[in-house]
Amino acid sequence: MSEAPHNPLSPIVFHVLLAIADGHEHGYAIGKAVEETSGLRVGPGTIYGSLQRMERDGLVAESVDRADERRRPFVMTEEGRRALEAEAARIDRLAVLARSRDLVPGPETA
Amino acid sequence: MQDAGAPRGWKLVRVLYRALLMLYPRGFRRRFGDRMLEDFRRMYEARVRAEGWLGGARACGRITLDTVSAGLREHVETLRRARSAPRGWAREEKGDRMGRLVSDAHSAFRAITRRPGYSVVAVATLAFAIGANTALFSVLHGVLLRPLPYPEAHRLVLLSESPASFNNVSYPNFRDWRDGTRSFEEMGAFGWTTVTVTGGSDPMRVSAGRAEPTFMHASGLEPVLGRAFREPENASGAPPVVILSHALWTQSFGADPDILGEAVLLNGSPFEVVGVLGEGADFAESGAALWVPLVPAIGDWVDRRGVHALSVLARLADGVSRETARLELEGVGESLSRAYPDSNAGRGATLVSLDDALLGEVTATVWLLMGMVALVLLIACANLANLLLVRLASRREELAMRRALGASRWDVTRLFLVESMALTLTGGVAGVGLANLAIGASGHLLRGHLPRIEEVSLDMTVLGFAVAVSIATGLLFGLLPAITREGRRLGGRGSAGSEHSTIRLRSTLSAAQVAGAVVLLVGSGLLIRSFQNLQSVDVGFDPENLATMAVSLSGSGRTSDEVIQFYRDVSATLEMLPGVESAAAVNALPISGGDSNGSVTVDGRPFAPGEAPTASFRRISPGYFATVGTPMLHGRAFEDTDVGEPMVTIVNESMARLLWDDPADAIGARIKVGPPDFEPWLTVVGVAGDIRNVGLEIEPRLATYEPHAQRPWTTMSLVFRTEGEPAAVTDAVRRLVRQAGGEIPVYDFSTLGERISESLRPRRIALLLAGAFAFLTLLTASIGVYGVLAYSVQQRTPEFGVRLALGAGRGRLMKSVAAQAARVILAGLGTGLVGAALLSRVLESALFGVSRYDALTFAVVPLLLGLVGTLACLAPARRAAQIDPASSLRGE
Repeated sequence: MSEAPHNPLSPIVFHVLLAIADGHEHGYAIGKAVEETSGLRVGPGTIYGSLQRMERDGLVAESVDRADERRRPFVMTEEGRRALEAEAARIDRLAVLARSRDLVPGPETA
Repeated sequence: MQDAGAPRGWKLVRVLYRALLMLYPRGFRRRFGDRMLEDFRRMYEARVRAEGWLGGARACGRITLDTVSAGLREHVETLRRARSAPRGWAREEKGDRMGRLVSDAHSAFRAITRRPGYSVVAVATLAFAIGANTALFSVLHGVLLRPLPYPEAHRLVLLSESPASFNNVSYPNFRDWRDGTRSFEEMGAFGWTTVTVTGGSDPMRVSAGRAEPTFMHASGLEPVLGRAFREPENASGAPPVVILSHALWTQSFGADPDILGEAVLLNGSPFEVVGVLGEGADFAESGAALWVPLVPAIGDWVDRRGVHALSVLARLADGVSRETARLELEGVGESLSRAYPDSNAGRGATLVSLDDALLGEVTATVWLLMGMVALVLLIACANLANLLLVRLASRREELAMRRALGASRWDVTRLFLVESMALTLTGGVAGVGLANLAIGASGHLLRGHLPRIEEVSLDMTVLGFAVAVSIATGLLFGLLPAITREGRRLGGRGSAGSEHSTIRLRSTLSAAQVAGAVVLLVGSGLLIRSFQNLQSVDVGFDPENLATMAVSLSGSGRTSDEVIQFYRDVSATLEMLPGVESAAAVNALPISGGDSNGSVTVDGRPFAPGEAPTASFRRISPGYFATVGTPMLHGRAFEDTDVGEPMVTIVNESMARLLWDDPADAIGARIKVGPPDFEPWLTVVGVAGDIRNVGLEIEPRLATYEPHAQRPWTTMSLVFRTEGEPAAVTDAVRRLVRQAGGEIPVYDFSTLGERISESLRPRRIALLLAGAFAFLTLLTASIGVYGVLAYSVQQRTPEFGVRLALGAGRGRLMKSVAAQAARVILAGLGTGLVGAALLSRVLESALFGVSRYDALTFAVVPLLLGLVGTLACLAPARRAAQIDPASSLRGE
């Protein structure tokens, strides 16, 4: 099933990838980052469930090195990075589309 | 990670979370269980640090939801993959376990649908129990547990002169507290009044807050439009300013954004609008439509230490405990009562937390009802356990077969767990639906009776509670077969001869249900008796066909003489209306919930400092007592000639009895009510019967009445007795008053009967709830008793057959069934009565005119149970008597 295109990603998957890209690698830190960026409330069950599904889809991997056996960090796979980039580009296109119809104000970082 | 420094309650919470983790598929739990536990610990710790135990509770609610949703999702996912993937792969992924869970679910479904009647009863019981618990928890959470909506509400305290009360602080005392203490960051006096607003649409009589700038700040009443009060505006002679509530601004001034700087007329004088509060902003649900600075509004009270009529809100300084602040304040209070014995003897200073002050009254009732519904849930659980035990017994052979074929004990336990979970979760969903209806209804029923009722809703915390309760119930009774000896034997080896012990366990459970029902029945019985007593209480007047409406002349520009004349004329013209027997005026109606009080001085009989009694005072027109139907016991009523000097008064019977050996001696005595340096002497001309002026439940206190013609008052309630239904003449009365008074507010029409009934509403609702709970538990318990008897007769059919064959009469068999029923009921009854006697202590504050050991209640409940018990054992006993010995011996 890893051949199938992943996009569009579900919001939670997108935010988890974003968190990992930011350098968070453990469930708790990922969860907190997701809550911050998405405003969603996520508990450990949701986070680990998503991680396991993402692992199955080849987006992330659990690395097994490091000294502490119990705290195995999650890392992003190449495929995960591609999916995140593709998703970001997709959202960007949508935003441009919406803005071109004057539905949303443009970026105000002038 | 170690638990060193773990937050409070973590140990228990960890155990609960571990149990919750069982909801995940095993593979998932093995892989992530430790990490999830650790993550939850950090989450819990952070919440507890930020919000205290409430944060902890929220974290628990959230994690429950998280577990239920994620656990379900993982199961579904595993299931889906097990179906779609090739067999070998599925086995590798433990798909066969999922397969088993699915087959468990199927067999649970079959087991439930095989006896739909019983399952429906169980689910209905659970739905009701969980629904009632959820609804009451939402009230508990919304009203009592959630912090009050003021900035840092836990640091707010209400200061009062002792004994603690509302509106009993004089301004000079407040000033000395403020200047003499250091425990408080800010302190502001406030009070309530009503004013007539003109300038908007119709002239309106509204309630208004009088408050210092510090009070507005401490209570978070900051305008969203315009500005707050400034310190110089809170001084005598300052230019008058006003802050409008959002409601008044929108209703009377069309939400005009340019209102700032405009003038509105309050009691006829112009006040400049400087601010408008945000929507819903209020303090203590006062409903105040506007706020004015305190000092200019209270006139010479600023310097009158004897006028105890204000309230004080204060914010504790950072790091100062309530106890420390109380001690400091009490010290200041004591020195003040030494320094000013005239006004302060016997009055200290004290404080209560804002929570206690605003919610104190309802706290006991809400917890009481919560206790009751918890009991209802326990009884529902006992019912469910009974149901499962029946199922267990009837499936003994099937289970033995499963064990023989290699199923582990866990496999068998899981079978029951899935079944009980299916029942409780169905019950839980239905219960949440019921709770939602109940919350909607209670919002309407209790508005104005229960503070913060509009904040009650079915939010995530409440849902989390419902889910947690459902899961806990399901776990408890799914595991029961596994943890009881009988259950283990049945589920374990399927050995014969365990019917009797099953019957014993079921009898115990039934007895426990009966006991619970008895406790609730006694509780409701006591409440019913209290309610009856309250309804037959002598209010001291005759509410039949007695109606009232309020009229206000303040701001109408009338002089005192004109005010007196107006009320005299209105009463007289009302009496000429066809259908109106008599009419009068009073400034505060009976059963009105409040009283104005002053300390009593008797001419020639000085009281020791602090010993002077306090009495309430009311202003009435001459026909008042005759109109409301209260007898004059001695002396005379007021007459139209009671104008000017000498000033006269009428005292009530309680006061005459307390102060004079013979109540008739009161006539001719001279008294003062209120600060002796300001109040004139009043000559007692009459003694009237006691009236329950404050409320039905409050014994009449000392009361005095003054003639309106000598002490005029602008806002009065007209009372009038009608020949028939008061509603028939209302419109005519209203028209007449309007004609006489012109542009004045006429409002609050009601009958005294309605007012009495309204004052009983919270009690009626509590009674209805308690009665419904009691009735349903009685029903559940009797079904339980019936169930255990029917089962036992079925099990004992061969035995009965033998006894019949050996010549026993059918009557004997019936007697033996009845004896078994009697044992169950008596055991439950005994336990229940003892429990009720112990638990009735919590009801004590809600009882009225009845002892918590009320003999009648404690006698009627056993009779009722006897009746219900007889009904419950009728059918099983008949069945026992109809056994055909021949077929029962053949084992049919």
